[in-house]
Amino acid sequence: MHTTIPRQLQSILGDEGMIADKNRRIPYECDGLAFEREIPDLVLLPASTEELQACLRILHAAGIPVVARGAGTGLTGGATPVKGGVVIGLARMRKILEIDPTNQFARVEAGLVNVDITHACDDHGLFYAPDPSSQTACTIGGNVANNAGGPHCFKYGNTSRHILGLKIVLSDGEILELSEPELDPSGYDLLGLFIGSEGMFGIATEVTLRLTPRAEVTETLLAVFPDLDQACDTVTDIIAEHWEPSALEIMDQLTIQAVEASVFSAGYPPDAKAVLLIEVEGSRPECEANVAGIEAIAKRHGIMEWRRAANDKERKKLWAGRKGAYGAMGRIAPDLYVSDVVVPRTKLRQLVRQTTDICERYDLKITNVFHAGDGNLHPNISYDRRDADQMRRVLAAADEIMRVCIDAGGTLSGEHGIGLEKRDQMHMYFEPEDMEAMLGVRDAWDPSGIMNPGKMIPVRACNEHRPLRFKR
Amino acid sequence: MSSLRQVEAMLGRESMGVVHGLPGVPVASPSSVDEAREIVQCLTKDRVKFALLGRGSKLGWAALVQKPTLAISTAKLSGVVEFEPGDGVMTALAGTTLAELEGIVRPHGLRITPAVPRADNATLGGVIAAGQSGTDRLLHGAMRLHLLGTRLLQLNGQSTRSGGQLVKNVSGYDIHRLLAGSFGSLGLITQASLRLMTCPEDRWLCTSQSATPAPLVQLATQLLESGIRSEALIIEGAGDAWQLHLSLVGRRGHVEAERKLVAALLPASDSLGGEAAHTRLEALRESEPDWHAGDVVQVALKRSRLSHGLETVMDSGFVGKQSQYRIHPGLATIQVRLQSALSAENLRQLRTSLQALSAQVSLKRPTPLTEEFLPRVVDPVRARLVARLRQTYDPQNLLCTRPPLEPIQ
Repeated sequence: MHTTIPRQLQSILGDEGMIADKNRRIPYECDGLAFEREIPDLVLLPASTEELQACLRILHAAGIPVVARGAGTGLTGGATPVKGGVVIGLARMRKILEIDPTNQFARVEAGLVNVDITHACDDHGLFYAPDPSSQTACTIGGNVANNAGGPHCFKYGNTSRHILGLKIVLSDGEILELSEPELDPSGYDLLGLFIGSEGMFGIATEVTLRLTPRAEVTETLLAVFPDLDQACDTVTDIIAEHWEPSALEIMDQLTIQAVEASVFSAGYPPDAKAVLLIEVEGSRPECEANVAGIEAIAKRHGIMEWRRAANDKERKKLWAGRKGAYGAMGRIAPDLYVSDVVVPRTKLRQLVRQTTDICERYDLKITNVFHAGDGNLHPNISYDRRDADQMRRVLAAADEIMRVCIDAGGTLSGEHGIGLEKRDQMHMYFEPEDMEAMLGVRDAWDPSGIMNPGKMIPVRACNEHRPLRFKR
Repeated sequence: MSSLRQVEAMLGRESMGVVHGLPGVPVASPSSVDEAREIVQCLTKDRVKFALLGRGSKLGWAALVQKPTLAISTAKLSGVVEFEPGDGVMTALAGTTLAELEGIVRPHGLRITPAVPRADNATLGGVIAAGQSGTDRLLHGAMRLHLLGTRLLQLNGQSTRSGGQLVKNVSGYDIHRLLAGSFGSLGLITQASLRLMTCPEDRWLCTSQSATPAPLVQLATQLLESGIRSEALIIEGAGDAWQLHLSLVGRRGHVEAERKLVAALLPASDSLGGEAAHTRLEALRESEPDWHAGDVVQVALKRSRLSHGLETVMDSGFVGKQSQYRIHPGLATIQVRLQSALSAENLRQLRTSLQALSAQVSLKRPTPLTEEFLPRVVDPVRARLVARLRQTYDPQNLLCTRPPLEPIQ
């Protein structure tokens, strides 16, 4: 990087908005995918769209790669810095700009933490539906980049169903205004295309969110199973018989035991082989009908126990175990590889079993905590990244898990995205011409290729057609 | 040999025809994706302008910018590719009609969204390309939200996939979202996957009458504020005859409970339950005129400004009270079918009077919109991005599509 560039950037951002000191740049070397690391040349922390715009103009002119970062909670290396590039963090852009309870939307800056918007509109009986497990830390901008999900996305859908507008700064510093809420796009659905583009099209700075009215009644239920297969079959039947819960989450025995030994203890029976956490929302009659229907299916599949949270405190406790599951897994091993694949919901039992068999074959410790209602599996492998052989086995097992899921009609990711983690597996799911089409779309958004280069689309495979372009 | 002759030789005369709404333009109906690819390659090689169609049922919505030499129809690309009732998803070829799809999924307690009128002539690909919504929009949202994946035949002859047949999938860019509402300007959608909806256990439909729309809008606002979850909430009428239709769906006990709430708000209304409600709603849907054909003004605004917006529209002399109106209070849109063609000056006045409400006003008409009818200057940043996207998919600018594709303020 030419020496004049940091000076130009600092004149825009001030001391508070730029990190040049190496020790202070180290925390930005990776996101939640800890084994992919690169220290960025600079970290920029703009406080406004205009500051970001001015920075991008300079970086674009110099051909310097840019990686946007929310809170760094992503699990696929989407925010891993690019060699010779800068990281642009949105941490100083976290204001709530507007809440309109009557028309049920909010306008926020992209660095706002997910759960903060729900807290802010709670008094209006509204909430923001996408609820990733990291919602107390992850940002709305990061959620947009990855089309994030969460347990309640079974009913409410991923992030893309809840975004009404965006203000985007493109790679050359131009501002694309898609921020006026529209019923239907009056041209191409650029908003729908942008969401989930993993920071490769531009950087969203303002987000208009749809707020959802809270349901009249919420019931939280726990079905305890003597066998993981039975829990999976229960979910398959709930879907097939058209019951409509808002969340269906399975945790296996190792997860239950880790949770119960941790501060997140939720009172799950440690001897159970699996628990199914169920939430039902709606009117009282609707909830009662769903609870009765789901309970009958669970009983048919041989539950050990059926619990219904009696009050809000019990409800929160049952959820605390699920939300704290990843934290609790720190008890098993120092590192956790969180896989994210989706399978047809008619094949849950088969695929959960296969993923477990794969890990056992590689002599790895697997825990399962997943969004069963969406068929979104999270086979989590506990490991120690200091052990090179274990690391090799983790990656080999992860590869095999993706392969069996795709062979069964599944896909690479349901909510975490592709990033670096699954970039080289894209060919398992897509043909070269599909990725060629993606490259074409990416080139239209960012002809310079400086936005998060090298992510999502496998460089090697696509070099055969057309190399990713970005100047160094 | 000319491109047309080559296409005819490829398909045989029986696969060439015409379609109402595109006079004088031969229509080729390939019966496989490979045939469609051959035609596309033949036309692009010779730089022939062409249009992409389903069954042509939406040609009346707006005229094409240029007259194509040939149109390619997906009418013969029909059939279900994969249907998994237990997973609530389906993949079908683009020329399959929504009525055919509905007939297949209905016995499994599932249904297709959007619930569009004249579904026996509306193809899956056409509905996606037009971004069409149905009478169930309020409950299920726009159809693009339930589109799980597509296969697109590009002008370079490649068949490319986006998304898949899974209810949750973030692998790769959501190019299928770009195709929804793209009106055949990026390539031929040959296949699509949809999330299916569950058939409701019970249904209730009520209709309330009034001599003016204002009390019905007020009632609708109260219904929406009460948290009632309706499948459809529509006010329609003209002059001194106005009706509000409300459709409730869901579990039996739920519909019963909501029905009681509604009864308290709408004491004097005609109502139907169960299958009779379903039949009546279908009849209402089928009897409605095509709101996309003819001169139609659409006003979209915030829900809280609906009453004010309606007054403004009705008070403007050139729209008037005698025109036919359709109001979606839940979606906050007002549609007015004009009795006579609107002048550019009238449209400008209407926009000015609605400006204070931050309303978006658009005009739909079957003839090409000239510059003066475009409500706002195209955002240059957006225009450049859209041009690059168009260039990516149609570098020779061969696809004839409808205007204006781009947003206008």
